[in-house]
Amino acid sequence: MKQLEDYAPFIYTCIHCKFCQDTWTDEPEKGFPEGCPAGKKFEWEAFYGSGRLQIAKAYLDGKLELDEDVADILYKCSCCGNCKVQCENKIPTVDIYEAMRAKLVEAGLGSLPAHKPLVTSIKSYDNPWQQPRSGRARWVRKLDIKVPDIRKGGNVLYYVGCTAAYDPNMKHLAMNTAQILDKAGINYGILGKKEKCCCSTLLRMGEREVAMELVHDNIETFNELGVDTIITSCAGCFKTISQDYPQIDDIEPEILHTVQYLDRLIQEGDLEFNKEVNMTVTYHDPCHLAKHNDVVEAPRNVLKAIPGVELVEMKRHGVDSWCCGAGGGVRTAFLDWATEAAAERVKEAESTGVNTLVSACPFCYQNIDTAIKSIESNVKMVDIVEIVEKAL
Amino acid sequence: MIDQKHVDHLKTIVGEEYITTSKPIRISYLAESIMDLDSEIADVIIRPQTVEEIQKILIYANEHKIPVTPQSKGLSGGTATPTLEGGILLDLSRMNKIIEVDTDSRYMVVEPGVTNGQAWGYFIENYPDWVPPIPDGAPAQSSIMGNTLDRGFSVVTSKYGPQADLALGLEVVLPTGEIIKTGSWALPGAKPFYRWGIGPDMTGLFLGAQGTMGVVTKLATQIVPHMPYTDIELLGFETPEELQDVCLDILKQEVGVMVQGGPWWLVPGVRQKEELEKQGLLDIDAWREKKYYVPNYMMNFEIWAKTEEELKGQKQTIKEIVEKWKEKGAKAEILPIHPKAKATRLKKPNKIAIPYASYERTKEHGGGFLFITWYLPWKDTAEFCHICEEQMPKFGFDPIYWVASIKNGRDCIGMPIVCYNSQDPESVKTVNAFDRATSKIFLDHGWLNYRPRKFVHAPMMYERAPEYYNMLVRFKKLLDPNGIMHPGSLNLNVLEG
Repeated sequence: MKQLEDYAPFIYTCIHCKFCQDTWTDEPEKGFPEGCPAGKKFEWEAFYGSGRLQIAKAYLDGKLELDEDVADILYKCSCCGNCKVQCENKIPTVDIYEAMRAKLVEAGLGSLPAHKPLVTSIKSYDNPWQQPRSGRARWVRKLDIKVPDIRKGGNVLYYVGCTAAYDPNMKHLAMNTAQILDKAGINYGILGKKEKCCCSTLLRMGEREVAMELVHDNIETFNELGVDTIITSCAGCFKTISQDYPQIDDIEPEILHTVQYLDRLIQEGDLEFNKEVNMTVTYHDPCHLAKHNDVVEAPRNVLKAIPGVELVEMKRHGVDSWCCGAGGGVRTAFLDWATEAAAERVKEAESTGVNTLVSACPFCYQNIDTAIKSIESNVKMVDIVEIVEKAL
Repeated sequence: MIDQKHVDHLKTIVGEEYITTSKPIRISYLAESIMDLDSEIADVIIRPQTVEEIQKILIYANEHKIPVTPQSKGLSGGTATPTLEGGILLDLSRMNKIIEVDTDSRYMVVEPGVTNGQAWGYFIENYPDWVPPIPDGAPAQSSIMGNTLDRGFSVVTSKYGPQADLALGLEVVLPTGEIIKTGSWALPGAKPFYRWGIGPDMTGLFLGAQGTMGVVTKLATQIVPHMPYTDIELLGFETPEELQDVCLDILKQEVGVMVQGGPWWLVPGVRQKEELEKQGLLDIDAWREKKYYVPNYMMNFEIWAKTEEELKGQKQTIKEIVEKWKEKGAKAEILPIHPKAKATRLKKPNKIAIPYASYERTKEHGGGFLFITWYLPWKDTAEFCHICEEQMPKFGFDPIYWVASIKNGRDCIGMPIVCYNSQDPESVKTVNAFDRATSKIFLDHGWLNYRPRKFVHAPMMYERAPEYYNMLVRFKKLLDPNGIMHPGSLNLNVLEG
């Protein structure tokens, strides 16, 4: 993977203009709301992309040594990518932060103590939730359909991801996805107990060495399966497998997030809705879909295709969405702040007058749901596959 | 480095949460681009929220002769308040209230941390018929205050003048702890409706002072009508003289709120040179062969009107003047403008100035740019263009520069956009050498640098105006007896010895 030094041309191109601090929409009437959860929370310049790049530059210039202060700043970032999206000089900010985090790990200053159980869990159990490997496919038992093992054949691997597989509150997401694929007659399968963490969290935290073994295992598995397509429920898995893995080794199958795959099925007439679902919803764009992969239209196409669903946009949407605050190891290390960031999103959803907040990532779901409870909001959190499944 | 005892005392003023000596945080405030290249790390950053806190900080700093550099939130060019002598950097971003908007007297009162984006959004939501004077092409996070104090460019400068011309009054905390108000504000109970106040006016002492005289804590500035009908007319010319003379005729008719342009080099300038070279697009004819119509020189007239008829009338005025010049043999024309380009230009604030940083970026090294801005009479615009085109290549820079009208073409703001390799100290030295060489030429022409750099423009300019400089130093001594305010900036560091 690229080292911090590889990004030097970009780091030195930062002119400290601060455009990265806002969301910058193509609709001026929206005004210019804040876009950086870390900057908004901690306020010092260092917590914005513009400040972080000055720190990276000083490090490369030999004017700054890594220490606990640097680690504190660099780990207080959800790696949402608002700064990357807003930068007119196309500086890959998040890649730079992650490369700096890798330096911190090498120096023994990262990841943070709060991250260690997660790192150990992935090392020991191939998942971050300290759950046994054997539990990864338990969600299948609750279904009255058979979920195929991909190793016995199939064109599409449904890579469930650790959160949807293990979190009791998230398993319905995996179940709904399997039901949709089944109803659509897709020749798919899962890896079951053999599925391993994609290592998104490890890579985001700079724990590259720990991640490498699993990443290589996964790439080898994916390539050996001979499938055409891999679909993921989790936006983080999707970002990691589609963007990080190819930096490490070639990966043969096409990688899609579920919403992209569903959008394709709908466009090609392979998924038809039979029931009307009368819902007015607003959609939260997961950062790993919208900001990191520009997947903005696909989920909206899916929602708009469902009979009876009306979509009302929040002020900040698409690549200009406000991050839920969970990513980059923030929810693990700074739960209160992650919840606070998500609460801002819930309030923004409330301001639309809609009480159903839809997303397409179990990690966003988990964090936003925590915030809904913490502020006792009437908003209901829903994953997009729940609505799709209802309409079939 | 400031002693810990000072830091401990300052904590008692603002609270521990709002002061830091953390090295990475201090580094994050460095400002080594866009408007200047010289910046040092402050010893301590403080984020006060009230005038009283600032007063106490300044009294203490003055007593202990600790340098203080105020930073509103960033200037028109982003974080453009370089700290030159360590000491305290006052980050005023917590003072971010729009205190008052008066649509009858047509002003607003803002604190230093009020940003362009914040003000623009606030007006869209609350006062859609009015426009706050925000800088054009500057970040949403730069401040109204910073751009005003710097006498910067605003979205309506071609009509109303530099942003400082819109200032109606200031509230300033002096290093002695005294608080003064200027303009009509100086009279207790008076609104800030009249810049010249109870006179003689002291506002000007703080405009262009780069924080060397005191900390400005409130600004009253004019707001202007937000016209519902807007458009852009793009004019092309063969020579700088045509650009200068045709535009002046139009500007004399008071058409255009924002009138700006320059040579065709502005087109490739916002792209990456390395890529353009590969595509053979560093040549104007190559652009033209690709069916892009690129004139040698261009000017965008942004026009605002109350009615569609009025908008048409302004366009007709432009058309008639261009036709008149064409009849006289000038190669001037009104060009089609791509809808996307038009939308980008009309959007406020916009990002149009930022991509110049990528021009010199390659796979091996970084980019960057320095805006070196000069004010000159409009009738010198063509001469300015010729000098830029002669001098920039001499130093290895492509002749990317920009010109714009001030107050209906009374003056011109001219700006070499020096794109360089910020990763290479030799490239930085070359930028400085270019700046010195052109400063001599520009000063010989009687033109003024609008934001003098400490090591270049300030000494070169003031040595030509010793009487003015000496008087300025006397004012400085009066307001800042221990010379703590942004020492060295404007080369006003004579107090040290």
